[in-house]
Amino acid sequence: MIRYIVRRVLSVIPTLLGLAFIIFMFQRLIPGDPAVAMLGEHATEENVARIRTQFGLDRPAFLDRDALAQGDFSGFFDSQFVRYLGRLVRLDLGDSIHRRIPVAETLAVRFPATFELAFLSLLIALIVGVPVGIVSASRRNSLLDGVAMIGSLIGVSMPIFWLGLLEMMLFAVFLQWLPSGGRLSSDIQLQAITNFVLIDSLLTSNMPAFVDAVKHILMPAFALATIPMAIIARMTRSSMLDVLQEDYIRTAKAKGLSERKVLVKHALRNALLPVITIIGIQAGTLLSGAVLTETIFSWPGIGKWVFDSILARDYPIVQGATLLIAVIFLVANLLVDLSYALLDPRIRYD
Amino acid sequence: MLRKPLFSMLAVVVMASMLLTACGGGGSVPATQAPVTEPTQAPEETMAPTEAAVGSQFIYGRGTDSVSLDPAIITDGESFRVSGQILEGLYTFKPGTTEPVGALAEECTPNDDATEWTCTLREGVKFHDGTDFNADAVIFNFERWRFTDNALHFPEQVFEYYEAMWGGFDDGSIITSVEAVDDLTVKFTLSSPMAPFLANLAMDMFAISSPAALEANGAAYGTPAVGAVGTGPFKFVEWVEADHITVEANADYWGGAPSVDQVIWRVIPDASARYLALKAGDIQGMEQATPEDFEAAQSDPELQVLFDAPLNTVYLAFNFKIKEFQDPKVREAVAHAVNKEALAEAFWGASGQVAKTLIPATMWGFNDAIEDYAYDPELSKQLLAEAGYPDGLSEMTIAEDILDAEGNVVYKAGEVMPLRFNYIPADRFYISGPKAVAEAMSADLAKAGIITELYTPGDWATYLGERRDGKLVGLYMLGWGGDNGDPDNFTGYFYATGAEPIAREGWYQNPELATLLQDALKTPGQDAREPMYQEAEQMLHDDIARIWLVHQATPILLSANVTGYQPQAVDADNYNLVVVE
Repeated sequence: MIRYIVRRVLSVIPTLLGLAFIIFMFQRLIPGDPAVAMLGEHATEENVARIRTQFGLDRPAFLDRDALAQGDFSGFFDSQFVRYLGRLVRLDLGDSIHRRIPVAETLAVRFPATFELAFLSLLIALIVGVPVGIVSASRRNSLLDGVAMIGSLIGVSMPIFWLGLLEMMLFAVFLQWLPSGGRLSSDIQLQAITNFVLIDSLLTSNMPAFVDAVKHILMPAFALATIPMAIIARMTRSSMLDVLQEDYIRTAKAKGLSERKVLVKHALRNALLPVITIIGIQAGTLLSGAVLTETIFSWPGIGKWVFDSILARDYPIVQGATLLIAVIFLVANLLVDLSYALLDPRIRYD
Repeated sequence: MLRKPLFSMLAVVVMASMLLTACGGGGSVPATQAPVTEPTQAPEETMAPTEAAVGSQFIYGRGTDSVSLDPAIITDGESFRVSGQILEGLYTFKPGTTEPVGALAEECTPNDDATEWTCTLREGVKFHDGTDFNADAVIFNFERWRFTDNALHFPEQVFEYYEAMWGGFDDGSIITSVEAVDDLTVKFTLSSPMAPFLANLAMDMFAISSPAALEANGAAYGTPAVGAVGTGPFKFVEWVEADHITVEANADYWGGAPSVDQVIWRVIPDASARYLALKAGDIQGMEQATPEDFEAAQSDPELQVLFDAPLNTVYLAFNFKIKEFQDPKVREAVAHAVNKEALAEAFWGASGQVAKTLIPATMWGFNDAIEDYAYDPELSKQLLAEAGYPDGLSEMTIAEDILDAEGNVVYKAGEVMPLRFNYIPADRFYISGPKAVAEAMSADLAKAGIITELYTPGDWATYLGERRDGKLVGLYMLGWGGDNGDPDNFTGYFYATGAEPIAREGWYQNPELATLLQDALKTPGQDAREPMYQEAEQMLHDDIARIWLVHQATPILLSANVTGYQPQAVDADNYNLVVVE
């Protein structure tokens, strides 16, 4: 097991290197220049040239053939990509071109916001999705099953921006129960420790902040949870239906075990393997795909930030955030793989 | 049995996330970090885990966050919106007008040939950090902006506006020296007369920062962790990135303490969500509403709508490397084919004013004598026939090679292709839904026999890049927003270098106009300059250099209980008289 984990962790390095190369290359392939994007309508030739020089954008993207032709070997490697890799080795993600502040500094504040939202959404999706799937499977073709499956179909197909605005209209404008957006009310003071506001408010025993944070996260978390919730419900149902037809289930029933015990202890455990796989994939999708939810609920996470940075050609932000998401995605999938062994004793990673 | 592994997995994920965050952050930015040089702000206070007692708040919703609060190195309106409350320049603009009036300087007076300006500074003004505002502080700021070898002129920071408005850095600067005559008098010496001197001083970008704060924070000055320290009506409190910026009233403000205790700018990227937040009472003001919400707000008794004076121009430009557009008759045919009134009505509504010149009617230099090209598709057809296109126009011919930055031919001379209508791919502060506007204009043109193909080369960054290289072939849309209310700021950027074809301006060339604009910049006195800009406008009109479409007055939506909000024609709106009842 330990050897397996070490092997998996080591395999992350070439994956990240390859990813760094691909992200770097694709960004340079799309037309548009960070300096021109930054200066907008006011751009003059002199300013564009100066900014390009200051951020090293006038250097060749990969290797400088002209320097090589002149016999300058050090210049040959003095390209944007090699400089970027050099910084990456030192765990320096660089500075934002537009903001001129370290990308890592902003990531440290924004990533927890996205993670908190994605984690809670996944939790909601699990808490609702798995039981709905079990009940649907155990009452196959019943009215309950029909309602649950139509409900999950609506969940999958409902546009998040529409659902988000509806939630806001109901809970913020008409009922005035919940705030319309943001992560914390501006009159709430909270000492930042981990930058996860729910955790920080608990760590500092700041109950007003905790209640305020919960109020803020509810609407976006439910909006973001709808799609994974529906997928998990459908997946659990179909996986449970397969398992329920197995011989050992019939045996368990024949032994006179209660339906609840058969479903939860015997069927669900086996049915969960594919569900866990889906959860792993959904976790990555939630982290990288919360752009719409973050936009509608003014959630200061990385989704909208990365999206805007792509449009502004702010290369260091896109590179840094994408790499972090990749790391999380790889970690989530490693956890999923390891959880197989916990769920199914037959699976061993030696 | 089942719950255990699941529970442990969730616990591992939470712990892993915390670990990753701790590793990824380096120096994490606390959500409520106090400004480094803010002595009046006790750090213990902001860190206290209690609900802070705040007085009256004015919360304003906006689409994007500020970039920095150091006005010298930024160019975006959302940064100036905040820095403009914290910092002030020597001059400012009289509310709602483009007239420069004294702020930190009581008065600046020129010598006879306007190459020296002597400014008397306001007495007894202090920066928010308690240090004195005086002649040395003014010199400190101007030297930081001007000299590239100044310890606080960081190479990675772009002092773009200093270069643009004052002619360049170091020896290239029109301001050749700033000297202290005494503690409250500074003398500016210029290399040549500069007519918009006071208007430039009044720009938000040339607001004076506390030298002590600049020295203490270096390149971090203006960032979320530090904020900015000026003399303005509000003091920086905190900046939580992508979430909100808070400032508090400066009780010692020389112009009188603001009425509201705190102003908070909240980032709400989605326009509909912003409107719902206003309706929910979570914010008391906003901009950039969707057209539907704007309409609804106008008849909503809980809301009120104010307008910023329109200081921008949306236009349709010709690429002059298109053979057909080199013929004035074809350009005139296009001008008569666009139904501006209908466009303004349909897409800008109450906030749009039909444009007939580049300089908006609210600015001096506007030439009201110009008679616009009336919408007349039949006349367009006739003009096209006279120009040799009796069956209308649907193709364009590249007149000269158009090259990319590496010198490769992108469009070859003689190449014939469908006539393109390049539309802006993203909303700008002067236009919402540019594609729909382009479709309407394209339909107008079709009625006059001008068949265009709607096209955009990519996203906004790509569009700007293509425009810069003169590669937006055919017709293209764009706009301009003014910086200092001086007509040179509208006309000079576009045409003062037009002795040669300007790639950025669709290869337009008009040496006579360029000379006139260069002279106008050096001519002292508004009375002498005004006719020169009016003449420039006439030249642009006669040459049908471009088709000026609309000036947009930015609508500001406020809750009905807000009074005292002062929209500005130039610079950030004033918040110091705002009262939330």
